[in-house]
Amino acid sequence: MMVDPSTTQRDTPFSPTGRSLWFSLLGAPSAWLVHFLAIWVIAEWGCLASWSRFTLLGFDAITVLLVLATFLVLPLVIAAGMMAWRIWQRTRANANDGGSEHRSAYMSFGGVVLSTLFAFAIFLESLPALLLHPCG
Amino acid sequence: MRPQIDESEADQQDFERIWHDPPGLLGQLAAVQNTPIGMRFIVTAFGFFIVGGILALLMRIQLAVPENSFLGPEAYNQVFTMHGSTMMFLFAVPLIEGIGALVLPQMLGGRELPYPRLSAFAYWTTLFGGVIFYLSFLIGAAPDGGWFAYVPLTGPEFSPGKGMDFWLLGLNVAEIGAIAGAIEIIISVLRLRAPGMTLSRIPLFAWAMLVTAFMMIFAFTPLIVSSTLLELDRKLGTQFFDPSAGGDPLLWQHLFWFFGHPDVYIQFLPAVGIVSTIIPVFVRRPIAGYPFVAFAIVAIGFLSFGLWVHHMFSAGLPQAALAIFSAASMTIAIPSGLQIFAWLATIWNGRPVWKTPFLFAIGFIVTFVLGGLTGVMVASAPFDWQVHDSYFVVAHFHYVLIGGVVFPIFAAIYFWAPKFVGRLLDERLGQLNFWLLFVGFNVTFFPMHITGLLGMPRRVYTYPTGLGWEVFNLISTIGAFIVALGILVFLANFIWSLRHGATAGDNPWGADTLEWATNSPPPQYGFRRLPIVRSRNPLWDQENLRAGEERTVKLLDALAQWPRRYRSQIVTSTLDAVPEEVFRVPGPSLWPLILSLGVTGLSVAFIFDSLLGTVVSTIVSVVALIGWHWPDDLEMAGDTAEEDAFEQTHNIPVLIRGSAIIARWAMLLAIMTLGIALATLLFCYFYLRLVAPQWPPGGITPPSLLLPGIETALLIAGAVPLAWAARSMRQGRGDQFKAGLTGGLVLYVGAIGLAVVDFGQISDVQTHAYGSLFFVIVGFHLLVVVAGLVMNVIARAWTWRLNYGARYRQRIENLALYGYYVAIEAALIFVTLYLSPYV
Repeated sequence: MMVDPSTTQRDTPFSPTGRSLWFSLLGAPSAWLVHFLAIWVIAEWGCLASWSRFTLLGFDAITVLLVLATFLVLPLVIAAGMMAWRIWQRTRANANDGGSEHRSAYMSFGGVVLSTLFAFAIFLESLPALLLHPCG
Repeated sequence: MRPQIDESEADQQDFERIWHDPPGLLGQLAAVQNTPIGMRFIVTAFGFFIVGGILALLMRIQLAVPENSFLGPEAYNQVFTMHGSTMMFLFAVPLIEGIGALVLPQMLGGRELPYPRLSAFAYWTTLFGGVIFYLSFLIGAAPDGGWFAYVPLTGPEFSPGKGMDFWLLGLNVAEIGAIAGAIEIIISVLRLRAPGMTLSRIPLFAWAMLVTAFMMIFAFTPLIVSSTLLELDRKLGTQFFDPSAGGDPLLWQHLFWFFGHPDVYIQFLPAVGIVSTIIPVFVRRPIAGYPFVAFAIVAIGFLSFGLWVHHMFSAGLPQAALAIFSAASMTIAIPSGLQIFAWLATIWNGRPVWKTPFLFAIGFIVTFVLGGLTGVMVASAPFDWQVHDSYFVVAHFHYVLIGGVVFPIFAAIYFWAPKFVGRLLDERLGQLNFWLLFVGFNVTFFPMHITGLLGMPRRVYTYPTGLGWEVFNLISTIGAFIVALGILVFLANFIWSLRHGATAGDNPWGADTLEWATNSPPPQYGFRRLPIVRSRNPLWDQENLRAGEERTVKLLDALAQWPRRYRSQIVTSTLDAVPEEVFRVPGPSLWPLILSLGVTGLSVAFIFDSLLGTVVSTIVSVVALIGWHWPDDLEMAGDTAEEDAFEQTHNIPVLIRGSAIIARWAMLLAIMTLGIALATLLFCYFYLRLVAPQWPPGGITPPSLLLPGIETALLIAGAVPLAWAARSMRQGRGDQFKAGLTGGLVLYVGAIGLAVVDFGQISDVQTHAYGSLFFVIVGFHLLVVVAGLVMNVIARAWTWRLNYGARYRQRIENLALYGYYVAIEAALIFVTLYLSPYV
């Protein structure tokens, strides 16, 4: 039987797993933490160990590694953010005060907020790689 | 409405008997319940606050006029070190943990923290750690290297006296208690909530304490590791921080500030929770933007671990590193600002009642915002290069710490004291207290922005005339005495109100959170009939706290009547707070005090190089650990007829030997703590290796792989029989688990034997960081493995007295978890210490 797409009420509430909720909430902050520690190690230790003497495509190795770290972690942040968005969209309509959909909507909304904030944080912290000589 | 349970006086007394502590001094020393422990934390921490404040007054007297001779340079160094260390380690964190211990269980609709004896241990270690710390004054050897204890000043060469040993070991003892408290708070907030208190209905104070507790584990553990490394340098001649021997003083700075910066947010976030609790009550509406405040707390919890190098902007680090930390330091202003706007919106849309708690909350907002503004300024590296180590920074951090932490603490005391002592504090004295503190604080610290910009450095015991600093310093000193007067007014108010204050009633403020549903003061157990929650603001939105889903109502009604042989509590699920388990909560015990004395004795013995003291303290500690875990009569009797009947009726496990869920969580958190310690040590290894011109250093051959390889293989293999033992228990083949324990034991003994041989062969411990790192990492590993062995032996010994089975198998499961951790640790250490030198 075809489902009427105009209906917003569902017979059974959408119930995301605990794991998906926690990933959507904490995935982006955790990715940020790993990214941050990685770029700090690259930026400080790379200069101490003179990694900048190596170059790739005209850029010094430290800059390349910093940019690479950002590109490696971004998919994780985007994944967490998208999962959070999808769960939030599916649970917010039925998130009356009570029930598991309320807390799912709450956690996934948090995931949307945190993913946005930490994506911005990663962007801001990646700028030095593009704007500065790392070891100057 | 007709009560659904028997609440006759005789019945009530019978229930209370279970929760009552034994009489007399012995009962006081054996108390473990969260109410007396929380109060002790608060009173003790406040005592340290007074002492730290007196030290501040001494500094201000010395600096009131130029070229003063009230305090000489050596005394001044001791005073500012003790002031900073006292405020940061012995006042702020313990007081906040005390508020958490006192308020959280009832705020969450429960009766107790998950590990009452651990709470008591946390208190005693905090007290004794502080006592060790101040013992240094008695022998004329107070620490004098600053609260951050930079090397090489605090190393063996430039601080040969015992002062820094008191600092390092006293604080280590206190921090062990803090981590124990953190584990309890995490488990409380996630698993001991009232039925119906879903994750989206948690009070913001509880949310803040949860995030803070995780931060404590991540921040205090590296501090304990780094303090241990410095103490080893001082006592055993290791070389972690001496660059001429392969060490690096910057390593200390990184380790310390990795703890030190999150530490200030560990103090600030609970204050956010306090203010988020108080403002809605005093403007009579729920907080605006509850999700934003909650998730801003999470964001700050994470971001605070990315700021630490902003304390090292002038240390000579590469500019990209500085810029990264600048960016993070500015980013954290976003969630902080979000919270401020949420509070302002709440106040704007509410109807303020200008009582003392609310005044302090407003004072907090004003002062913290000012401090936050200068924080964004110093987050810029070039600006910081101008003001680093000047009084501008002193002004900044006092604005954020006094505004951000001390004012909320006063707000909390005025807010919650009526609940827990049963009397309201005098309102007029409260308002006087507030204004004296607010005005005095600004008079003290605002001029310091100017003195800093005029060039006055920190930590100088005096200054010459003619630099334009005189009038500002004098104004600061006058302000400090106004603050002191404010504190005196507070003490007078509190002491007077204890006896003569107006009776508080159950809910004098008309607050919304669950702790206000109990009597004032509440019984030790908080709620006899546990509440059911259906709202974020239960006392505002719910007609009663007893109605709910039928099964839960029946369960909670029954738990108000039973058990009568012991204290009990329920465990609920993480996301939706569905009841999952009823468990027995430990009662009064002297073992936490005795263990704490043993641990303290060990530290003192180490300070004074006393072998006898070390042996005696170790014996005391071991005996206390055994006594603590010795099964008692109730456990050994094995009579569970009542528990079985209850389980049948209500379809919920009842565990007389303690909660299996909580035991699992505690083991996982303990493993996480050990993992962080290991990560810190491995970081030290690679940090020092990176700066070394040659690794291993010249003249040292790379390590042999044979013995360590076998040892590592034994430890990895050791996880297998332990996992098998746990699996056997789960599958009901209980008779086979002993073989698993034995297998694990044999493999661990073999590994320890080899490790001891390996340990004995470590060379260059005192001549190069390479040997020092081997020593400390293998030593740590040995302790971890020995601990696993001891747990194994204890679990085995228990089989003589207790039955394990599908119901009581968590100890075996925990051993298996620990076995996995040991295997991973062994592999990582093998790769780091033994394989990587060949790369």
